[in-house]
Amino acid sequence: MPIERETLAPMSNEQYHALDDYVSKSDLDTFDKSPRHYFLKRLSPDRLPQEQTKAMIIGSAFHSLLLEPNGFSSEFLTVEPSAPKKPTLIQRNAKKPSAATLEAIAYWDEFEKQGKNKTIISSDDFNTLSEMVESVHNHRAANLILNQEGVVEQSYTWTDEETGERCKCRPDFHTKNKKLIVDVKTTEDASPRGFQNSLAKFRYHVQAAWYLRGLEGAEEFVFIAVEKKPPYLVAVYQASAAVIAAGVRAADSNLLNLSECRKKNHWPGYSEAIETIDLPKWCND
Amino acid sequence: MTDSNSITTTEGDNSFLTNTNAFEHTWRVATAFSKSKMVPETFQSKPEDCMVALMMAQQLGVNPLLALQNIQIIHGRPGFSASFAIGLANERGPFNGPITWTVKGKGDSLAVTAKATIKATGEIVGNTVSMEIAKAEGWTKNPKYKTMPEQMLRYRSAVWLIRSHCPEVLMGFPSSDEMVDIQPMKRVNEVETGSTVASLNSELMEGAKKVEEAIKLDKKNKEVLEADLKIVREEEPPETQEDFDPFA
Repeated sequence: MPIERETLAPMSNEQYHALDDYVSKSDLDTFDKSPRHYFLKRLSPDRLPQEQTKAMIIGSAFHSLLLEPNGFSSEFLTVEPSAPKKPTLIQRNAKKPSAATLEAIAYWDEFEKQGKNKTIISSDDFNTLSEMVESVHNHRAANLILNQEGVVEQSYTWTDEETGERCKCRPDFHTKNKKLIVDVKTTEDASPRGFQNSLAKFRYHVQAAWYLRGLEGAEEFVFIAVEKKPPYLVAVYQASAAVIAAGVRAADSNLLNLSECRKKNHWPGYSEAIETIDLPKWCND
Repeated sequence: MTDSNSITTTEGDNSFLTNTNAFEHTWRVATAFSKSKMVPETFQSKPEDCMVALMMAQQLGVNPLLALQNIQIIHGRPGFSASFAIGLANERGPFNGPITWTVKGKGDSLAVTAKATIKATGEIVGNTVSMEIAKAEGWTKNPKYKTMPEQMLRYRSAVWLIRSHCPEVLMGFPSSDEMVDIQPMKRVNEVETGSTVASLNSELMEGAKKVEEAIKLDKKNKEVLEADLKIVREEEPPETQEDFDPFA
């Protein structure tokens, strides 16, 4: 049971991820891999700042462009298609640079000044993102959901009563009454079968359970799945009761084990013994 | 009830609803059952459904495996197969000996009477179901009434007999054959009260309906227009070849 719930003041994604004292759904994922992984990511004195992969950058740019289009330009900078070619070092050091080179140098100097502390998005990527956003708005259910009165990327914390672990979550979107939580997922395959695989692979069931627990009065959880490649098909899925129940079981077991590890300050990797291995369930025949 | 062939096990017991250990245990048993390929397919990989079936078995005091084999989910509701209901009634109903049947007529005049003797009074009770009733009630939409009418009427008459003389045996659960017969009306616009997703979905459905209506209206308008044009064309004098002959 969650106690001491708190709705945090608006903050950036970065600030949210920096809330080290709270367990997030992605921390549960890391812990689920092994306690050692969790320790190295969150607690080790020589932990490295997390590097953003290209997929992560594109994912967060898409979220921003879809959910908070007005804030997009404060976080991201797009290279315009009309931009001149970036000048080479030789061109920059040339004694008598051509007018075009001078222009290019001026353009890119200005670009770098503007792009300070911003993430650069190529014009190709920006076009893809725009088409994905358009595709979401062309999907009747997705568009209806996102046009509901609601709150975007609000952070919540709570304390787990059983373990005393402090927990956090940050839904992409929820309706004003908090009854419906919505998460946007970019994916290779938004078909029912494809998204089912994603549910298991990325433990989206745990996320549904975790967020439903984090928001007081939350009842239902919906995924808007958007494909990353043309024709950028979109599907909207509601997490079934069985999905949520499985998520609750997994989250509870992760959290309990995490709290045990913390108490003993013992963060093991995989088994040190010889284990028997079986085929996965889906290939039993 | 000590008979080892008995389908009955222990008296009904609700402890799993109040006792955490009993609940956990029932859940584990349900999970184990759900992983078996020997339970009917409707229960495979569905520990939740297995759990409900186990609860039903416990409530009725019947062997859990037998219950799993004989509970069918039809139109989203659990029910017993008719043969299971008859077995239960024979074993624990108020009858002296099993339910028997007499069959009269053939084809459309087929009628089956289920009969049994009440142990306490010696009274013989019966219940007749005919094809005429089956037709009037609309059960014959179920194709089994065409392929095996006598068997269907046997089941039907016996379940009715059980319902009227010892309803406690079935504890209010329907027999699955009855449920196939009584198809629920299509409930397109039914909304679970309070569900945001359900209300969004019904809004979408309304929208889709309006679009469909608009398309229909558009189509109808076009048809009317074309019909008008046809009338106009027919009223115009037919153009003769000479009219168009540039060399005329």
